[in-house]
Amino acid sequence: MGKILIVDDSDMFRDELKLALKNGEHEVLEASDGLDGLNKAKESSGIDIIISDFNMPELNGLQMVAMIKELEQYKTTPIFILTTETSPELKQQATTAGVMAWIVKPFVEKKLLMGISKILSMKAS
Amino acid sequence: MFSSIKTKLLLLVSSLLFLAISIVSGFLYLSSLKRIENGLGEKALSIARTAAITINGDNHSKLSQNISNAGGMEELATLQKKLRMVKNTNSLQTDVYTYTRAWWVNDTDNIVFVGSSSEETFSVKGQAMEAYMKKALYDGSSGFTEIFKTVNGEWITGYSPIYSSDGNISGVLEVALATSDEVLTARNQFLKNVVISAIVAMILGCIFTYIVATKTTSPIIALGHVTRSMAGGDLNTRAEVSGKDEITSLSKDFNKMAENLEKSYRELEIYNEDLEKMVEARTAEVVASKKKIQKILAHIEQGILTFDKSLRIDDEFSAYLSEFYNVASIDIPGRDVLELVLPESNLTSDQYNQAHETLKAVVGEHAVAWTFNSDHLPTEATIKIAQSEKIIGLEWTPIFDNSEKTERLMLAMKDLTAQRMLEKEVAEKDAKNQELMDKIGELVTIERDRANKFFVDSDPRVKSIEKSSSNHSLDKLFMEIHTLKGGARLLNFKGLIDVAHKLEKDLQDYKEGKIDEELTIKNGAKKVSDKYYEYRRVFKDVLGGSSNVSTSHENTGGFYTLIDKHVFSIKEDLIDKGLELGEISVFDAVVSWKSEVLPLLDDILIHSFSNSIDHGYHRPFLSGSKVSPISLSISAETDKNRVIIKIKDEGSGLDRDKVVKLAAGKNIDCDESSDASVFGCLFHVSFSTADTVSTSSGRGVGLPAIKDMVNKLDGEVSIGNGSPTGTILTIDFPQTKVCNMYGRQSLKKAV
Repeated sequence: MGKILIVDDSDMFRDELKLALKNGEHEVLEASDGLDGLNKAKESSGIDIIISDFNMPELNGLQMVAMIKELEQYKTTPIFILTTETSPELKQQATTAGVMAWIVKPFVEKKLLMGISKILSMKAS
Repeated sequence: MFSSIKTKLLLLVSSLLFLAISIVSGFLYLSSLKRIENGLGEKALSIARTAAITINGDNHSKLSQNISNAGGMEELATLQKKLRMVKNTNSLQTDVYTYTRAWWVNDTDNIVFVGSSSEETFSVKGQAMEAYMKKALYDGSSGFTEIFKTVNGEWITGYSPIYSSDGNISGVLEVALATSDEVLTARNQFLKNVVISAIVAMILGCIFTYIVATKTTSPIIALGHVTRSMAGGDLNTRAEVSGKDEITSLSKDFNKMAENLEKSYRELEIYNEDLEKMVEARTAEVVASKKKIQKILAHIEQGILTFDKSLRIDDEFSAYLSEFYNVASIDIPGRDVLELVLPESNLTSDQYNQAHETLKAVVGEHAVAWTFNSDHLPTEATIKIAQSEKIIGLEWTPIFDNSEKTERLMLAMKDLTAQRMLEKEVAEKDAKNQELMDKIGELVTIERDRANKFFVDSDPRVKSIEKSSSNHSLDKLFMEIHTLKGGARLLNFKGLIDVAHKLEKDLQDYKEGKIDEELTIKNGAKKVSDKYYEYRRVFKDVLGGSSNVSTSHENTGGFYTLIDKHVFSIKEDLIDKGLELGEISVFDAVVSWKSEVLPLLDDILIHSFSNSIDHGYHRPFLSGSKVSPISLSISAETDKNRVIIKIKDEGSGLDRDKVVKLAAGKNIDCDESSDASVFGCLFHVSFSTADTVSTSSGRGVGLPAIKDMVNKLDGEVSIGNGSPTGTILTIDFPQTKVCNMYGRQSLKKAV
């Protein structure tokens, strides 16, 4: 299964996400804000997928994604952003930054795992 | 008149002619130059020779010796005079002079001039000796030089040795003649010749070229015409083939090419025609399928639409949308999908917003976004259109493009209002039937006499309860309720016990002042009496009851009613026979049976139940086998337009071998390899596998009678063995013959 970095400033939400991903037998790395996420991404290797919240202190989700995407090893890493609301401008920004898809909160565990498996199997092939 | 190739040929021929004539003229010029040279040379030599003889060699030697010390003036004067004479006599343009070896230096390759026809005296300084000078000075040879050039013109020199009296060579006399005139003449002649030859060459060239070129290029020109004509579209044209030269083979090749071209062109034309036909056919297909789709969209009883990431409805959508939402067709394209589909819905604003956000996160985005988020889209909603509530079902389908993106979503919307109503009705009916089953269950477990006694005893009590409740005689009410509850407890009528107990408690509370609602008591009393009458009705109507219990008739769920009536009727019979009743399960997917069918079902059940019990359980029991409690399953399922009734038992099943043997004995045709054929024999009149005849079964009329009845309603009946044991009687009716409405209801009851 995959190694997934989750970035969210809410402990509760992070726990929920972690639990869901662990149910899918994924290895989970946690970061509590955008800056932490960026650092964790820098110091870890073999991360398959990054799932991040959008609204966070320090760096918001999109700013963090843009900076992570500048790192050579994350050029093709799928990144998903959790959100409650999007605007066309934000979507455009996200696409530019390298976000693969939005996950509308609250996530549906079964579907989240299904999508992740799909992406991981695509990556493997 | 000159084609390009002619001009080139002309230039080439002219140049060649010109070159040839020029070379010839050049040779002539050079030979005439030689002739002039020889002539002049001979002349100069003759002058030099004549002059040399007349010169006193001794004096000349003397002068030569004195040159360095400027002596011998007289001799010099004589020499000069002589030389001048030579010059004048021969009208020479240059001076005549003599020279000798520079004797005072060791170097003999220098000469020194001795005398000249001019007045000037020579310097003593020597001059380098040329070859001919050397020859003349040492060998005494005379001769003339080649023509040579100086700043003053072109010259030729004749020379001859001067001998002294002792025969020694004293020096050499040289005479130079100017050659310019003769040479110029020769040269002019040469130039004239060249110009003439050029003109002649040009003229000859023109004539030659014209003749040759015309002959050579005419086939090329002809070929050119043919080519142009072909280029203009005339593919039938061909080049003329004559002669044996390269043009001929070119023409042949050209014609071959033209043929191929024509062939290819024809093929292309045919292909084009085919292609046009194909395109027409395809276009027609596309138009036809588009029409089909449009027809579907115009008539389908579903709202179908598509939209892209703008979430605005595309131009193609089903007409049903306009009809259902009461919106003009023209107002639908471009409209926000949720705004059209979910007007005044039961969704909370958060749910609506989430649906909207989900659509935004999904359409036009990576396909995985669909996986992540599609569950947030509503699949059912209650909406309000023109004051009336509708339940709609929504089915969202992604349309992916080649790059793993969800390009559009398709929404299929259905009106589920009627279906949900029906389901609700079915559920209500189910609940009602369940209640009925419960009561029946309770009733069949007691003996009919006891139940009868209870009802006879309780009828006046319930009347009294009703009365006491309206009179507000609470003590009386309490007493009657208490007694009724006790009776119900004896017979274990749970439903009645519950309501009675509740009323009892409420009365208690009321007395104690805990509640002051008189209405609660009244309602409670009503509930008790209602419940009581329900039990009573079931007892009377469903279970046959007793003659001294009477009640009004009310039709309840037909199939269950029938089944339980029979279960009750066989129950006592079974006990008599020493058998035990196990589980009876009922599944009835028919909401409403046609009333005329119910008596038929009734008969079928009587026959099949007694068959099952007799053959499956009783006979084995009588023959000493251990039998399990009787288990029966009766189901009525719907499949497409059929209603299929299955009556199963888990008894000993049918004895196949016995059936085969009996069929053979009775001369009934049967295919031994097929179960259907073997067991089909059982429907023959007077066919019974039972060895003895019982009161209700074994006379061979059961199954043929069932078959008769089923056939009357266009149905089919078959019988077979179940797995692992038991028999299955299957009856298949056309739906329209037996029911008004069908849904789903399933009940199980252990009795």
